[in-house]
This record gives sequence, structure tokens and C-alpha cells, in this order.
Amino acid sequence: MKCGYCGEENVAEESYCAECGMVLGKEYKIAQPASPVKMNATEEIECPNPNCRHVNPSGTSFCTLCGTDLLQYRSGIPIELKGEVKAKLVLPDNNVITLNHDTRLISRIDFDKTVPAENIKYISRRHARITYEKGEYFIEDLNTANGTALNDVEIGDSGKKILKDGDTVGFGGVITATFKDQ
Amino acid sequence: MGSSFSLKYTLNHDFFLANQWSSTYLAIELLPPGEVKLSEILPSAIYLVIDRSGSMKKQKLDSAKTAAIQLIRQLNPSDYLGLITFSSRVERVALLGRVQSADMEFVEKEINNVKASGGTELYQALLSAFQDMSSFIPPGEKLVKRVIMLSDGQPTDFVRNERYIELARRMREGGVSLITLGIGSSYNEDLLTSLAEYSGGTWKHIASSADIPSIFSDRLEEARTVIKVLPDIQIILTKDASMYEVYKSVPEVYLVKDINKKGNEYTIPLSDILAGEQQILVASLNIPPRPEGICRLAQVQIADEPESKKEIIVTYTSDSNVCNIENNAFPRGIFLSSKTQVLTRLGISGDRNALSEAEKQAETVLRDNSLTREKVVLDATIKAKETIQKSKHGLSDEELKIAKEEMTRIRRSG
Repeated sequence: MKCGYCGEENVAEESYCAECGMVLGKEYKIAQPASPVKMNATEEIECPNPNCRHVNPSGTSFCTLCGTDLLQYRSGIPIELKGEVKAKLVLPDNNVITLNHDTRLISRIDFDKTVPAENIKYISRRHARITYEKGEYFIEDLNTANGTALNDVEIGDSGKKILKDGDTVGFGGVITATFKDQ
Repeated sequence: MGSSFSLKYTLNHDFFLANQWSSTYLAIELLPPGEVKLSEILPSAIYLVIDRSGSMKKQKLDSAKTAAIQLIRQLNPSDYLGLITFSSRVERVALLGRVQSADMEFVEKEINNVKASGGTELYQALLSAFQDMSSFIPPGEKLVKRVIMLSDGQPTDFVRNERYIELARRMREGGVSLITLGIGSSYNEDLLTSLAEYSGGTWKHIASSADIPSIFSDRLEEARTVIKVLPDIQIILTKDASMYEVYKSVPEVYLVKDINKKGNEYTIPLSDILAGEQQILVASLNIPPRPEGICRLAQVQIADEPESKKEIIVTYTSDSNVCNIENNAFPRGIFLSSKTQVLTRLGISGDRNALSEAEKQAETVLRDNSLTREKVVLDATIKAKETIQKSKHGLSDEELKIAKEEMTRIRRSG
């Protein structure tokens, strides 16, 4: 049976479309294309939960503090699909740390395949944070013992530093990765 | 046996806005029957791997020896037993074999002769136990295979953590779970936790060597309540939906890292299903736009158990008021309390940012009445908050291990 929404052919005994999950045997009004539209909203989102009111960065699906589903409250604003790879940090052994438009914490776990066990301790469990704002990526050091270096210059407590394609980022003095913007 | 356990799912939202992207939390509860029928108890293959390094001298090793002998006496003839001691090298005190065909008096004598000295070559010991399990047990034989490892010190073998984790993973694939028991204050609890997590086993801190015998027998008792060995949960999402940040919430708490994703099909490893022991997984989902109507968002089942299959059905509507109602706060609560515990655990291991994030999150959860109604969420969050407070005054090595252990488990009842 052909799905009334996505057009997928399904075996007769199925009640839901194997592709899109809609009930079979019905016709659907197709209101707008079901593809994620790039987000241009840059505004921060205040959590609607009265107990929380945490201000979240744009593009957040869930309030980072109380977990309220922010998307539900943002009806009408098209958002971008999470998890899509937008940029990466390439490690010397060609392992990559993928980045999307969410805030990304760089931690020891990201290097456990690349950095030898005896050196992994120089990288903190919360080492650096990469954020995406207004079309640019930024990196900041999370007050680590062994530091984060951008193009061989220690970031220290100087806050967020912009990342450009081809920049090198050193973590804890034990590994250097190359930033690739896609 | 097959159909005897059931899966239950909960979403915090059942209604989603038509033609929009949404997000929600999904909790999956596995509810096995309360007991195993006598005729269905699987025989166990227990491999004891005991540290006999110099630091185990006297009490600890004596107690471990007593515990091993007691455990052997509790085994059934159809069970398997193996025993390795390790220090600077690995020694097979009892070759892995069926209890009925072994000379147990001889084994007991050998155990009594074990003396403490040397280093802690843990990797080789675990590898040997695993290799024996794979070569001495006929494939296809239905057994609950467990390596029970006891150690009091840092490994002295300089093997990278990643190789330990790889071994733990291979063990799980081979149907062997690793129970890591740490005693004293100087072993590496983070390593023992990862080994347990990746192999589907458990980690336990032993406060006093006098407890070793009862802990060994508890593990055997537990093995006898296994209904299904190391199952996987399979989740097939509808097109364009995605799942991220999956926590195992009950009984152990950790961020699941070993998820196998093929297209829209996610396979998540669980630990052994024990009679009467509930397991809960929780994940956050991104939900794709669909027109108004009823949609099957996902199909969930225990791998190889088609009868456990559940379809997750949601409704798309254009009424945004309906969509804003959180119909069940449990998935959100259990997600946040698990995350708080994971952060707290990182925090007390020395990560200041994680600690402050955990503290903020705990406070937010505790302010939210719809979350604190759930006892399991409330208890876990309060425990996390107390742990954070305590850690500010400084924790001894031993207290730190106990605190971490508390942060790796929640039980829903009792």
C-alpha cells in the first residue's frame, strides 16, 4: 500500500508506513516541505519553565538546566537538525572530533584513542568548549591545568577565541589538532 | 522464557506540532518477572580473578581465599569454575572446567597455598580468563558467564585504558560480563567502572575485607537469577528522527557510549536481565515534521525477542496548547537526575566545571514539583546534592570511592 504522505510502497499488512511512520490508508495535507530549514535566528531562548527561566543559546532543543523542550514553545520558527556535522578537529592519527552548531565540550574522552595512556592525564575531563555564534566557531579553555593553545599561543583565561579553517589547537601540551570548517 | 519480560516506554510529550521539528525524552523500562523458575536457572561459569600482589598481604588475601573456597562449595555440579591469581605474573590455580569433573579438594588446597607478593598485571589476568572462557566452554552452551575480579591496587602493566576497554567490549560480545571488586583506597575505580560498563557488568567498592565472602556469594546468587544474558535494546526510529545523549538510569547510572547506529536503527547494550530487576534507559530525541495525524515514531524491542516489540505512537496536531502540556514528567526527570549524577561523578573526580554544573542542575530539578514527585528522581538528585556538599569539605580516597559508587547507581524501589 502506498503511503498517503511520503509515497513509500508498504507491504499490505502494515498499519504504519515503514519510512515516515504515518498511518497508512489516509491522505494527508502536505502543508510545507518536511525538511529542516537553516536557522537564522540568533536570539537566545528564555526557558518557559517558571521554575527555571534559564537563558539558553539559540538552537538549543532542550533547556540545558531543566530539560524543558524548547522547540515545543518555538512553534513557527524553523530550526536546524541537531547532529549534522558542520566542522571538525582533525587529530594527527586522522581521528576526528566532529562539531555541529551546538556547544561542544572537548574532553579527555575525545582523545582516548589517540593520546597514549600515560599522557591522557594532561587533558582535563572538561578541557575546552567550542561554541558556534553568528556563523563563527569559538574556542575557550575551561581553566585547565595544562592549557589549550591556539596556533601555539596559550589561550589561558583570555576567553573565547575565534577559530578559522586550518588553525591548530593544542590540548594539554600533548596533542595538536587542526580545525577544518566545512 | 522468551515472552516473559515486557518493555514499557514513556515520552514526556505525546502530542507534537504538525509540520515542525520537535524534541522529547524517551524512557524505556524493562520489566522482567519477579523470579526464575527452578527449572530455568541457567548454570553459571564463574571465573575468579584474584589479585595476590604484595599489598594484598594478610587480611585481604586471607579473606579472598576464604571467600573463594566458600563460593566453590556453593557451586552446582553443572556450573563451571576457574580461578586465576595474578601479581607480576598470571597463575591458573584452578583450570576452567565443570565442577562435577574437577577435584575440588585439590583446588581448595591450592587456594590455601596462594601467597601475596609482586605487582598487579591486571590486563594479562583478565585476558587469560576471557581466553579460557572462549576456549574451554563449548560454543552454544547456555551459561551465565562471569569473571569476578578482586584487586586492591593500580595495575602495574602500563596497558592503555583503551586496550582495557577493548577487552571489556570483546568480553561482552563473547557473552562474558566482568564484575570488578575494588578493595582499599588505592585501586583505580575509574578503570574498574569502565571495565564494568563496557562488559555489561558491575563495579563494587568493598569497604572491609571481612565482606568479601558475602559479596562473592551475592554475585553467585545474582548469576542464578539471570533471565537473559547481555541483551541489546533495538530502537528503529522513523525517517529523519534522531536520538542522542542516552543514559542508563536504573540500576546503574552512566552515559551510554557504546551505541551501534546503522541508519535509523540504534542498538544499545544492556546488562544481564535479572529476575525482578528493572532496567531503565533514557534518551533525548529529535522528532521530524509530519502532517496532522497519528505517526509511529519508533519501534523498540529486545534484540532476538520479537515478542517484546513495542510501537511508539504519537499524534501530530496544529493545536499548540496541547503540545505544550507535559503529559508525563518522568522521562525528563530521570534524564536530568542521571545527568546530574554523571556530572557529579566527574565533578568529585576533580572537574570543577562539572561540579558547578551538577550543583546548578540539582537545584533546578529540586525546584520543579513535577520532577520531584518521582521518588527515584528526587532521591537521586538529593544524593547528588549531598555528595557535592560533602566534596566541598574534602573527601578521603576511601570516601571518594564510596561517593562515586553511590553516583553510579539508582534503584527505583527500596
